[in-house]
Amino acid sequence: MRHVTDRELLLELDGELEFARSAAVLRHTEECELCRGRQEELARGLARAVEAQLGVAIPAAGAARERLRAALRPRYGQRALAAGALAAALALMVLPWVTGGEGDVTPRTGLTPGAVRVMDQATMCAAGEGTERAAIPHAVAMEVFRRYGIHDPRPRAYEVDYLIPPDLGGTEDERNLWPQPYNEGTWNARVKDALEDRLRTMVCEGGLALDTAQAELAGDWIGAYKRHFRTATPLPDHVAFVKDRPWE
Amino acid sequence: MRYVEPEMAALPELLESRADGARTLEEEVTALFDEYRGPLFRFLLSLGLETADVEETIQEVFLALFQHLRAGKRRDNLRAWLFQVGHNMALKLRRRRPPMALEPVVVHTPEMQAMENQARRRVAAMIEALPEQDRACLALRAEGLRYREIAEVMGISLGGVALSLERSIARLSKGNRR
Repeated sequence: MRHVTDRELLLELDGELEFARSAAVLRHTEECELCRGRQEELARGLARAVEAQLGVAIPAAGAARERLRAALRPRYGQRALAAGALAAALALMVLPWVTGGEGDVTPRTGLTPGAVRVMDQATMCAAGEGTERAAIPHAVAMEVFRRYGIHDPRPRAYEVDYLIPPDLGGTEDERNLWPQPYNEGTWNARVKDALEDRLRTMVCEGGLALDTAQAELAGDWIGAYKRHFRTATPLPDHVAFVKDRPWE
Repeated sequence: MRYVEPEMAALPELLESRADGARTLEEEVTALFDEYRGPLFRFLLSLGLETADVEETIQEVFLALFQHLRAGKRRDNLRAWLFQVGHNMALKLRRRRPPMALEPVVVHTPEMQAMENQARRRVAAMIEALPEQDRACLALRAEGLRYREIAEVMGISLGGVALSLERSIARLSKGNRR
């Protein structure tokens, strides 16, 4: 009778053998006292190893647990901090309202600092693209125009746009809305929509932190566009990009 | 045209708390900490790290886990992931500081008989005398990891794990006949 190796006796003991081989080893050890004895010996050795390992005394977890929780908590707080710092930094700059010859309008930081809800990346990405992007109520849109000193907005000339879009955690709050020229100007709503889509993809693929994406949109989105698409001017595809409808 | 800010909306005030009651990433990481701190702690001790270094390493492991999960990366075997990252960090730390002599801390209960005590000390001494890789594989097996997980953590083949365990367990069983 051929005996079973130590290796196979151990693998069988640990449930690491495939079923057919395991059955063969069991049949053999039932009949062979020698192999059965060797397997029992291995089991004893294993039990001693487990006992020695699990018998090691370690310090209580309490303090370490609290330390970890404290270290994790600011990850959410940091965004508030970063956004607060951003807003404070921008508040120091009294920006002229840029209405250049090209018709570019940039969001004014006092009126549109951006507003986000606390949401982790996984929840946000699971919610899917374009969710919660409800039409802006007429009254809210008119209020946004009023705040920006636009008294008689031409239909289809603007998109009342989210500074930080809902699918990147932005809220439907006046402070996150601004009138963006829809077709006019080089850096119009369609171009920004293309950047938003790119940022969302990057965040959901794990290439960019959500709070960084939000800060980029709330800060200098044109600079962010240039960096992410490695271009000084909007790409032709993006100028023709249609995602959100203009205000009518 | 100069524009003077009429108001500053403080963004932090607008932050809303999660109303959906779903488990946050922070809670998930804390739950994994509760489950695996002990096993990781003992494993890192078996690699010859001092207690203070083990505590530090474990903090780093779970902060890395938080980043890992936040980035939406693989989560199919987080147990093996935790031990693997812990193992790598321990090796990195040890390159800066030579390993100290192992101090097997065995639980002593007063009612434990002298004979038994002696047997335990003998086992601890035998484990300490094992080559480092064998000791690490044995510790992982004792913590309940499957062979393929041990292979992943140690960066060796499945056959290598079986060979290592066979060697050390045979030594523990035969060398300690009573």
